[in-house]
Amino acid sequence: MIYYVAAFSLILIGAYAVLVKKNMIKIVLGLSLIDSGVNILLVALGYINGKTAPIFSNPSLKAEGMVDPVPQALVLTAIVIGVAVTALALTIVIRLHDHHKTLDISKIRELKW
Amino acid sequence: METIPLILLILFGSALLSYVIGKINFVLKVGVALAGILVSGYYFLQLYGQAQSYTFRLLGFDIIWRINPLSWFFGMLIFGLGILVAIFSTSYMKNKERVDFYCFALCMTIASMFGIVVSGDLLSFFFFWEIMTWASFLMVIYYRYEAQAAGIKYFVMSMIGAYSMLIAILMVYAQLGTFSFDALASGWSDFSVSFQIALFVLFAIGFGVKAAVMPLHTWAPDAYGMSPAPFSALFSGVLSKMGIYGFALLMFVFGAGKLAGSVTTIHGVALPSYILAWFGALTALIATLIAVMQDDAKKLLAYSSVGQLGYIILGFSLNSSMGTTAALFHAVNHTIFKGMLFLSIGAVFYRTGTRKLSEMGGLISNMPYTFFVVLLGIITMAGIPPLSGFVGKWLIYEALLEKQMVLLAVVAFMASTAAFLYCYRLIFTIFLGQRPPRFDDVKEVPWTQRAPMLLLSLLTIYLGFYPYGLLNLIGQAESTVMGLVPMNLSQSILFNDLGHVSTIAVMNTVGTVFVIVFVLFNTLYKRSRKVGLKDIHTSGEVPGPEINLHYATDFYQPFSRSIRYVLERSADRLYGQFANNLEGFFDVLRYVYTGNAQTYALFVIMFLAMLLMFTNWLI
Amino acid sequence: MYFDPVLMIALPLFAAFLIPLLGRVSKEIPKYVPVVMIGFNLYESIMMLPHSMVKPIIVIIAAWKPPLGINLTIGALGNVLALIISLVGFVVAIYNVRFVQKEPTEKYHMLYMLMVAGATGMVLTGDLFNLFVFLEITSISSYALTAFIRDRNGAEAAFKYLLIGSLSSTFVLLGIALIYGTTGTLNMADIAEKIQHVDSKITIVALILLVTGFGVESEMFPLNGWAPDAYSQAPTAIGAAFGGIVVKAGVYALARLIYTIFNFQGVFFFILIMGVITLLIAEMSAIRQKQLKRMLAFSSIGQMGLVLIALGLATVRGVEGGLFQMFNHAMIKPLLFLSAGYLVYYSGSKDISDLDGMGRKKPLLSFFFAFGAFAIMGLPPLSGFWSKFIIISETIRGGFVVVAALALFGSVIEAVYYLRVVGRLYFKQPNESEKTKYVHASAILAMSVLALVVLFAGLFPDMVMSYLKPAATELVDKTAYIKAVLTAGL
Repeated sequence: MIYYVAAFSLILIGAYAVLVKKNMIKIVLGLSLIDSGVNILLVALGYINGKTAPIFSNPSLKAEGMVDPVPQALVLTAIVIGVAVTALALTIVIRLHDHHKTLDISKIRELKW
Repeated sequence: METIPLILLILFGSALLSYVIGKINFVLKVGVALAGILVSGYYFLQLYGQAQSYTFRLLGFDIIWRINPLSWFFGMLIFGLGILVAIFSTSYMKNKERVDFYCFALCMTIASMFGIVVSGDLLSFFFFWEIMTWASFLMVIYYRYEAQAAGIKYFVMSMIGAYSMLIAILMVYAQLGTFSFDALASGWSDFSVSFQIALFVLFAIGFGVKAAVMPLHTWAPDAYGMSPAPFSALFSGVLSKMGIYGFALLMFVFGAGKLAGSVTTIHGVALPSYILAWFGALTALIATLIAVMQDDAKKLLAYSSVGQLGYIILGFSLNSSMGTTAALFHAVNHTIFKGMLFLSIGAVFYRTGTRKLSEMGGLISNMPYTFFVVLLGIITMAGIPPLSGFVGKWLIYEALLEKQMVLLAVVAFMASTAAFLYCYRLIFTIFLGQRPPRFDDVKEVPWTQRAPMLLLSLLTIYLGFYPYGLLNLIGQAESTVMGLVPMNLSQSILFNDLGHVSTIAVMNTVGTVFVIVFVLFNTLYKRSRKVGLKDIHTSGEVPGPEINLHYATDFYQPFSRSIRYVLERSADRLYGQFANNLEGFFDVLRYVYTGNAQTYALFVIMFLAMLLMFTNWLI
Repeated sequence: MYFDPVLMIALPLFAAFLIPLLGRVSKEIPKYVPVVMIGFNLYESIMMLPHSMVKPIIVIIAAWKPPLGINLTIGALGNVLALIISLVGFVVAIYNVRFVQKEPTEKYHMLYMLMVAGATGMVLTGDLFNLFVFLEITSISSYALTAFIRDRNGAEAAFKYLLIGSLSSTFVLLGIALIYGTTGTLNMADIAEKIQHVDSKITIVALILLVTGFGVESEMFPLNGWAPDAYSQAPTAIGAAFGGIVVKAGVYALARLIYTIFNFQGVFFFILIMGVITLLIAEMSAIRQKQLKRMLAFSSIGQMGLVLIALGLATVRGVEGGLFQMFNHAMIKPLLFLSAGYLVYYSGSKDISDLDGMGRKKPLLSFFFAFGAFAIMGLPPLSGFWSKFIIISETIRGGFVVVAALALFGSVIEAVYYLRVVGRLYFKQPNESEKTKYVHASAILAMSVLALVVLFAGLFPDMVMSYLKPAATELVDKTAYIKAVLTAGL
């Protein structure tokens, strides 16, 4: 349960940052937070109490003793994607700062209507 | 190969060919276009009296192309005027730029119009209708710089009309599951009354735009005025007839005429048709009044054209055999005399380079043939005996009186009388009066231009003398296609319930009087002094521009003052304002794209939240 | 004869990462890699067409049979869209050969390849999470390409696109998590089978999340705030590719969701209504745009609105019309963008008002633009006519006369603004008579291909339609698709 609460609070905090904060870096941080929240949610979905990671390091470990491996694989992929997006976002923010000399997103509105 | 697809193939092919190889030289492109039209015209003639049809499936829809007397009748107009216009163009378009473009659009227009009249189903009808719209649009915008606004106005109004027609077509399809005319004709009576009226209104808007019924006419003066003169003739003479053809289909083939059984009738005409009749009559009257005021010769003819089309629609809406005969006969007349007049104005423009009536005058001695054509043209346009215009108008009045629609007859008659005013103005200001010195050495146009005009003149004389062949053709169309009992005609006398008139007698009388007066004039006044055009009221002085003697500018001053009220409230301006306001509204609306990334993110979240709140909608 | 369809994704991906290396060898090679690779995709999707029309091609990867493992499921729909994407991708790649001058060109080609590979993957995959991964590949390369011209506006557009795009992909991931949590599978056919037994209160939330997510890519209002900026600021060829490639993949995903995976009837009406709203607002916004490419972007959104209307009709015929419209849009919009790109390049300004008289200076380019404008307005005999006709016809047959009337009203607005531009091209006096520059042959070739396709599809619509019909059937009647996938391993 705690995982779900944590996941949703992270998503909400991230959404708050994306929607309210004017600083673009904080918005990017917000996006990352949402990502983390979703990732935790995914892992939590596959977690079964009292079971362990699905790694065949210990020969005595049977399939019944493992958690669902698929969400973890998904999360790994999602993390990689998240990193790529964050990196790209930050480079764009740097570019924007070079051009506009500001990080305030509400001041960067040359393309409108 | 089947004739109908062959004709279409030739016409569309020559359109493309004249555009593609037209880059090489002038003779080639005009030659290809002319040859295409001539050859297809030849094949078309062979279709007379035949009942061919050609069907195939496209996208799961049945496409039917067929020929019947009604479509042959309109096809005759298309090819008749089309060929003459093409011949006229050979010299008119010489040394003009973008002739390939012109030939392309000309062939496309003719091809699409032929496609319209041979269509036996609503899908191909609409298909060709749209091609006709854009092809003629290309013609309207032919003169690059000034014509753009006129072109867009034409295109947008046509599109509104076409789309209203499209909705009607698809409503029919949704009901019947087929596009064929026959199915619609037999299925019409099963529709509910409100559905029938909806179809009637939607189709009437669609056809009304092309036929320039007021208040949907505002594109016409500009579009007719802007297109090259030979095409104006085709535009007003034939292209607008496609709207008329549409009305003929709507009233008598689709079965809107059957509305009379199910809704209120006035004078034996269903209310929607009766309203349409008033639209036609008022179009005739108002357009004529506006035409009187025009200084641009082509705009004058354009408004006159709108008015004459009003007569034709009036004829159709009576839903009677005589009204339809009158309408179709007048349609032919209108094609002939609008062809004559637009070509003549084109010829004058070709030589003088102006269309402003107030700048011209006294060209009678320079262009006697053209003068003669215009003279015959206005006589037949005004409906004066003995030319064919008289027969058409006479039939319309008779049809109105037959239905005891006196008020409509009065309006129609007033419109006809007012037409004298602009007819007079047209011929006087161009050919009579003082000739400006700069036009002293204007010459008559070449034979390629004279011949089409003269042919049309002969035709109007012939039809005035002997209208029965044409009337028989109309009767054939009525009885086979339109489900009407043709008017009772005998070979020499046009008779009916109200009286009779013999065109031969009329022709003889007028002819005799003409000869007598001509002889008297030449013998009695032979010795009177010949007076030059310039020395009547100025004692031999050449009047300068500051002395405004021109009939064109001041003659109708009191008249124009009295109808200024009508002119100021032009529908055109109203639409313009409406369009501007609409655009202003759109302009405000696009502020939803604020440009702020966070607003867009908020939109996304709100969209999501809204959906989550109203999940019931989605299940 | 076709090769393993996995190569359609694997080869471009591999080649994309090879490009920087090849760039070291010679500056010329990277230009032609996309042409070759996407040309291969084009060949492949044409060759698969006769097979997939009959029965979906299931590609089993690493012997993991469905529903386990990731497999490619190439049904008629996926194949048709793969064909559209490869065709547009191929044409744009040809155009790119000479158009891209700005360094680093090899990175441009690499990102472009990634984008096409991602979009192809989206339409071919049979796995929901795989769909998400390919969506991200497409999106990330699109973000980067939007900012490729390193000016201030490009970066701004890219940031907006990135913000909305990654927000939406989070929703997609959340939706996938919900689905996996309730059905325990990621194979789309298997989900469709199992989701019927799941409480609809949960699945509807998953549907909403996924619709929101993919709605962003398919330019549904109000999720399309990124589109006008990204289209107009990205390099021209990329603007063209957005309309022909990225958005098509997004719409595919949306259609797959509402038709195959989920089983809610109300969502169709919702999509229909969103389609009308999208269409109208886009066309209204376009009419007074000052920049040519921005106007084209709004027009593109409007066209997608029409596609959404068609998808919302939920009839085979309607979906056929929608697919035809997608095909047309994929051919016409790049034509418009590519010619507009050169027009803008030659006039030296993005504004429509500076295009005066280009018809005289650049007759061929202006002709292509006018041709595209006529086609997109839906004038016969060009292909736009048929798709619009079918969609409006089905809308009225479905009883939505008002919707049809509004869509046609949007078309009238569209005609006004396109004709204004065409009018300026041809009818205004040129500003100054500078020496005209040379249009690259590769660009002319690209545009000619598109124009010919549009003309032929208009003259022989049945040829296109015969391939779209199985695709539409596959969407509307999902049982065959599900059965084919679930029995593939047996």
